[in-house]
Amino acid sequence: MKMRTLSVCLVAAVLLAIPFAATGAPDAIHIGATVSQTGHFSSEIGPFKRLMNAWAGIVNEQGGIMVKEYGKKLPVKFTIYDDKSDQATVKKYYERLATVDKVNLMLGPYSSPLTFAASTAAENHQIPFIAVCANSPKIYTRGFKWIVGVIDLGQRYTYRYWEMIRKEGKAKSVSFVVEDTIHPLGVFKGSKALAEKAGLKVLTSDVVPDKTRDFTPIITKLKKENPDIIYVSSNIPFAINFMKQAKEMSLNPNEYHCIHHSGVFRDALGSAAEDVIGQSYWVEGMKLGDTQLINDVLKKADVSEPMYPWSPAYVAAFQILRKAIEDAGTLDNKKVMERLKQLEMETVLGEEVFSDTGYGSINTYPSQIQDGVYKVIYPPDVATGKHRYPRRPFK
Amino acid sequence: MSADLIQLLVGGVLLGGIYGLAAFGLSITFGVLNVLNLAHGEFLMLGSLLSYGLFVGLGINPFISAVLVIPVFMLLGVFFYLLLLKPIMDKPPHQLLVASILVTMGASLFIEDVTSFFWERPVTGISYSLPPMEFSGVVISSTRLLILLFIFALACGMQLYLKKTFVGKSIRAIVQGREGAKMVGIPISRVSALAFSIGMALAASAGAFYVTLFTVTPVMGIPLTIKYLCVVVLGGLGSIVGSVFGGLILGIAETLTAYYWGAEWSPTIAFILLIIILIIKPEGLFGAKK
Amino acid sequence: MSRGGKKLFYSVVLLLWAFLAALPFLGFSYGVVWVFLLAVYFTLALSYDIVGGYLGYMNLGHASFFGLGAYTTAILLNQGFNLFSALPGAMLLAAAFAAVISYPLFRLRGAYFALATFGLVSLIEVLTNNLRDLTGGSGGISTPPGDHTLPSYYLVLAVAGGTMVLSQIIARSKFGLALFSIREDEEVAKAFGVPTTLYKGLALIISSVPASVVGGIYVWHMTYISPESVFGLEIALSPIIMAMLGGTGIMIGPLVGAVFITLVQEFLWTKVPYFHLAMYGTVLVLLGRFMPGGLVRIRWIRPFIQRLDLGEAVDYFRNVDAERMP
Repeated sequence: MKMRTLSVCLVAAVLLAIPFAATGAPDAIHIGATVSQTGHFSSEIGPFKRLMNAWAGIVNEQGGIMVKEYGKKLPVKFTIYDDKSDQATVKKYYERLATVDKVNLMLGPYSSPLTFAASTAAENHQIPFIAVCANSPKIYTRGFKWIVGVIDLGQRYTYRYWEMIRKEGKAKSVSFVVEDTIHPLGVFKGSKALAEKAGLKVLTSDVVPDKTRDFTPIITKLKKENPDIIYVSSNIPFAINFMKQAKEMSLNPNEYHCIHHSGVFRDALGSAAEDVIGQSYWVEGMKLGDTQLINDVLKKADVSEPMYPWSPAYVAAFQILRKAIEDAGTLDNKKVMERLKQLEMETVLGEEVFSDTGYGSINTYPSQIQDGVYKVIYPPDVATGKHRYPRRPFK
Repeated sequence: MSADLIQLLVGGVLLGGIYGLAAFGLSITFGVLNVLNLAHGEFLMLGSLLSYGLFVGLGINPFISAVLVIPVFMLLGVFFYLLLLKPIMDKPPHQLLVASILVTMGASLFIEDVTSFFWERPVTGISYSLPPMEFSGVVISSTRLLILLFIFALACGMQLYLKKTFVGKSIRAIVQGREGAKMVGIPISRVSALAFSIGMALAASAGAFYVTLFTVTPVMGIPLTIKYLCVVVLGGLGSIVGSVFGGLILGIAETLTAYYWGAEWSPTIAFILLIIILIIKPEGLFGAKK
Repeated sequence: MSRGGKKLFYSVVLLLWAFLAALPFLGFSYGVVWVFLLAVYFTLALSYDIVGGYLGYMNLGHASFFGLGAYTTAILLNQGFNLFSALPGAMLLAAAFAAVISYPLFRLRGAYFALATFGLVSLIEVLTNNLRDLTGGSGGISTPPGDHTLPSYYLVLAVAGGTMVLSQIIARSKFGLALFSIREDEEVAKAFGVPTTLYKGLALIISSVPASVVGGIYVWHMTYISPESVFGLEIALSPIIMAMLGGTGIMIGPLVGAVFITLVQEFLWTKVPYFHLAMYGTVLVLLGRFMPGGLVRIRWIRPFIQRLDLGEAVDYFRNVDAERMP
């Protein structure tokens, strides 16, 4: 009996020890990240594990990244966990990346809430952390020293669009329909101020829970108000449902702006997506530096940009990461972070500089769906098409 | 009544109809098997993905796929029942509750993960819609109206089936009391399998409509199940008329709240309604007192 | 023999706790984070079990206490209170909330009770989203930043240990006996003079306390929460599944369940690149299918548990009345 108890205890102890077993660090640049392969973000970011490995493959084919301190090129190695789209799990795995896997650098998880949780682990263990798809200003106002973000703050997400509206001076009023999640809400707050500055009258602004699938009451209200622009600040599913019902109830303003209007948006709506304006980081045919890398990585990973329009931001993050290590010439955390903060470079998505608190300068361009093709319409020096205003009403 | 109010009521009824259909199958499953089927939403999701595939791949109208999916999912339902639920059916009630939750929860996680691995898209929706109808300022979405009519026909058909046929009567007998039904010689296991497969088929059929109206993703199953469980409880577990009424009440309440009080309060009303109704009538609106 | 088993059990538990307390000094810094989360889930599972297992009412809304505790603590911390004055505040609020909802909710039974309580979590989540000025809305709420990994680890260990003691005291008390009798047959219990309404309410209040405290520690540790993270499906269902999987109605059940699930998940999530969720689902299906009484009631584990002399709880649920289910 004693023996049995003892053996049970022993087995339990061994089982407990398994997760903590360290995996030794080989001579490679070790990058850690989590991807939401399961949970509610999985449909937006699921295949991005392939994206990271594809880039690592491309870099390693060329021998890796040059690190001066060792006088040779080091290959890149990713350790990627599935974070279940859950903050506690994110925190746990970034701790694991820091302490068990001992990574040199971290790429952020998807979305601002998850980045909040992940960045605290990076801060506690002093590991450079590059946030990718996270633009809530609160992330950067906590005084964290070990974080930079690739993209500009959510408030400024559509500033180019409002600049265009102000210059054109045709639209007079706007109504906002906002999904109540962190990113669309942030975009809305900024946009409302920018719209007022552009001289537009804000007629209504409805903040709607993210799980809303039926928009009959809001569309009824908007039909009465009859604004020039209906600005839908939301994630893609929300926008598709809204536009579909807007068409079914023939709500016809002069312009629709849906901040995210990716390929699935276009496919799911068909003719209802015509003339809708949205934001794109990059559009095929855009005059924006060397975009060959985007094509290469996406092709290798078998990820399509129209389906996942935030994928170019990851490619930009890879470039930033590479440049920071090359410039620093070492894998020392402190020096890499210093270089990262001072970085000024031309990425696939244009100029990148980090602010003092850490957020970046990469931002989106307004683009309109014209005959099924995305055309960037502002500013003129990168535009691939002309703004069509007013839009053609639903047939 | 103003045109606005009529518009809202019409919108609420159309929305409620869709809630009703999905809740329908769940209600039958619960009534017959006494099992909270947490995998219900997964079948709805699979049905909607299948009819998306039929629409995009073969150009089949979603109203036709709503019928086409029924036999496919009845088969799947029988398979699911025999493999996973039948073995736990004869457990004592508390163990049955625990076992059914673990089994259906596990099954739905399994279905979710496998589906999202093979169905790699951010969201799925189809560009199918019919031109709207307009009567003196009130716009009616004809897609939704057609769906409502379809659901109404389906509900009537189901009701007739349950009232008139022998199998239907056996199903109702089991809903009223398993032991009693057993005593009068109803083949419980076979009828349960059938009832479960009907529930699954109705879920898949609802899925075909769902994808015509809304977007779908492989991960939507469990949240949807929970929403529809609320509808079922509102109407009374095991009552078909109840789940349709539960759906309608919820649809209208949500629409009116969103318009007059603000869209952010419309999900609250569902739960407030649920809790109030349960407190006044603990067995749901149309539930039988036991 | 039986007495020896009990002694052995308590010494194993004490040893385990001593080992866990020493963990940070043994160089397992990931282990600290890992055990922290395990202890959070375990405390939730164990406190759920007071209502779910002892009383036999499936409270799917247990996460509402956790979330309330977390949000109250976060708001108080931001108002300049320190953790030790914020936690009692969170505790009181959650207990008051439990007291208020206990009367209407306990009129329901079985699946109705389960779903109504589940509705409650969603209701509070929506309220948290909508009361933006107080809670920060869907953007979440952050507390003063800082590395609280170690102190929060010890706090949560203490709370988990305390909950174990509490659970054991209840199981041994007359009050606990009354709860068991309500579970077995509420009408009969009432007829024998058990003040059922009062006791059911008390059980809910008691179970709310550890959940809310752990919620407060959780937010202090994370320094940021959003409504989704404290009221979402993951936190609402996982502890309950742990309790069920380990075995409800007995203190060791949630412990076994929590450790088992966390280990399985850790293994699948870090070693299996694809289909780990599907495998986890399969594990749940198999356990539900073959051992619905929970791990501790498996035939070859049961005598072992019985020898530990934790009461006769292992044998409960043999003949729960059919009336519980509508």
